[in-house]
Amino acid sequence: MWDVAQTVLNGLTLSGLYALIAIGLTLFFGVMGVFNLAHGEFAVGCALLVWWITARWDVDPLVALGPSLVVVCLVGLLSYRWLYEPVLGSSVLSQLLVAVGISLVLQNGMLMLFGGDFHGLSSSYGSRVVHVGELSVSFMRLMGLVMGVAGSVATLLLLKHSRFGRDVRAVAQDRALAAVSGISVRRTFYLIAVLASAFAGLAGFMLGFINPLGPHSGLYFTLKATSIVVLGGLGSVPGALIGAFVLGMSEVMVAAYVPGGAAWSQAVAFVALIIVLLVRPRGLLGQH
Amino acid sequence: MIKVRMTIVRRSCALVAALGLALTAAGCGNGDTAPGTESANTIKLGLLAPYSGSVSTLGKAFRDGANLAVKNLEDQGVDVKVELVEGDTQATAEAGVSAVRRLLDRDQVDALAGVYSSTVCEAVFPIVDQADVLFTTGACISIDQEKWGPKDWLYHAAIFDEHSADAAVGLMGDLDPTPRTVAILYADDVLGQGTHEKLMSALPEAGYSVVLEEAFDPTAKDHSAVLNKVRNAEPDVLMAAGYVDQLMLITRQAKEQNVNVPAFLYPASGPADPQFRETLGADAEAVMGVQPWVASAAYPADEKYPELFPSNHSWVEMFEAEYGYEPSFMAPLGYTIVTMYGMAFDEVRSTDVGELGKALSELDLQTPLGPLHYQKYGDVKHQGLMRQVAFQIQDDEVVPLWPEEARPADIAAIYPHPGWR
Repeated sequence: MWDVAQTVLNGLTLSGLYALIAIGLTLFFGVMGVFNLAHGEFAVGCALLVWWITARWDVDPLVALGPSLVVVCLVGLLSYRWLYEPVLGSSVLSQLLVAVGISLVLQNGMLMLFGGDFHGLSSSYGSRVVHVGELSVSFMRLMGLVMGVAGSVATLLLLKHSRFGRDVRAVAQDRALAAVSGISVRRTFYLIAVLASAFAGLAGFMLGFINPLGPHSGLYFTLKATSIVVLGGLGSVPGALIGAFVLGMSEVMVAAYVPGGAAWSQAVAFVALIIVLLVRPRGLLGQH
Repeated sequence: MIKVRMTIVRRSCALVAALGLALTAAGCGNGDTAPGTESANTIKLGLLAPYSGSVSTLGKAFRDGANLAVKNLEDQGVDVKVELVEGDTQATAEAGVSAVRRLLDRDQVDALAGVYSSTVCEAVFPIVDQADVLFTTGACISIDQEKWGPKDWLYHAAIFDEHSADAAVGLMGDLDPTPRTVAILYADDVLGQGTHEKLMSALPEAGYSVVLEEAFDPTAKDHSAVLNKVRNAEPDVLMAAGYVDQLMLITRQAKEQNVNVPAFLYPASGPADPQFRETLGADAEAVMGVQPWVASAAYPADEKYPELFPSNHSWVEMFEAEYGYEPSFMAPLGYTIVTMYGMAFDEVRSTDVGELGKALSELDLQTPLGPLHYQKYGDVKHQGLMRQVAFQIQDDEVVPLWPEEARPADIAAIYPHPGWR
């Protein structure tokens, strides 16, 4: 029984981390209609920046998180303003090329700044392991689960019950109509770019305690987040949360209970994606 | 209007012509020379390594070691000029193929040297097979020995999978009490599968029982499920075969999952990599690994060429003085391969595969990597290193444990593992 419980716990904590990284991507796409393929690089960039600050000034990672998030949000805002905004009305191919370009520039920028090594974050709380009976889980994985769920719920509440959320929904539905209604479309886009970058940065911070990260680790997380967002329905925050749990639990269950499953558990994301797209092309909770 | 258009056309043509001239000039000035136009004392070596990508630190160490060799050859007055041309494999088969084609076709190198990884080696070997050049490799530990070993052009400096398995089994035999059961996790790639295969041959033969063998996706960022299986299997030794990032993740998650086994013995070089200790901190303590070279190994200087091959200790000091960081295995590998090419070329003044290869084969040296003399090994015509060193992380240092002669007198294995702190 403990064995099954441990497997379920592993799946839940993995799902929480997946949700945390997918929120920003689904927000960005849902409002701007652009797939930010550099999302994983923002996450990894934040983790490496935290690592660099802690290594240089010997401060707690939590202290380094603040300035690192500011930098990541600023880079997110500027890359949106200067690179994504000019191609908003262009073809999907143009947008994807810009996204790939940003991803490559960020990867190589990180390589120059932080070197090619893998780095991990460490602290007293970061290395704490929680034991309950036979169950073991790291404190940061538990926090990842809490933040993934809390972040999704908070985003949902923000979108449903705040003035900013109303503006965002209006802009996402019809930019022209939102503009003539007095909503600053541009300002809304900028705020979403900052919010999405902040979520990516937070996800990177949590991942830094769990996975060794290097300048090229971002693509993996972008692909995971993309699968989750498409699975849950493009632009849907609750969809992303459900997609994250479907994916996280499936991967762990396949690795745990299918003979030889660990060798191909990563393929689960794409199998699930194909099935959902065949049965329900707009994703689990997608509107379009 | 027409006049304006004509002006634009003329200016565009002028711009294109200027760009063309500039590119031509750049092409002329990039150091390429046609074969046969170089002076008789120059050998042009193509260095295939991952200079970018996720394992670019390996390429950097290889490059630094190679450059140190060139500098030292000059400093010691060896009358050869070794020109290095880099080919970035990015540790992928596609980039490796592209890089080797560029080195052979455009740069027209006289010989190749390369590292990392077996997948890249298998991809570039068919191209090298068509070209008339030597290829000394410091990686390719999981290649098809039967297919590539007999090739005249292949000089395999590094060890093979079985050497990793032999060292791991050798170390297990020295542990007290002797472990009996082993769980094996291995990356589902060429390296992991190769190591797994050799372990499955060596372990039962030595009387050990394999209680779990599980492949994992090398791109996976979560190993909790397989580590849960390890915990249930309760082995005496957990062996994990893969690259350094995978081993770091497995070690970290083993702690998270409270996987307590008496020994974490990875038949791979990853734990000796400085980033393994830096990233894992105290959790790296007592982890064991296997690699061809350990910085603290007490290899003496070569008796005949002490200036080119000083003692391992002196070489490490020389490297650190030049580059300011602790070298990983790739650095002495780059140094040794390039120095040996320089010495062989100095002997025969020819880049002919037969002549240069014969000169390489005749070298019998004590290098920073240990004794190195190319000789026949099974199907492999020219095999360099013959033994790995098993080591353990102790007090943030990599200390050799096996073979016995490599282990300093005051060192003993930390066994069983003290548990996660």
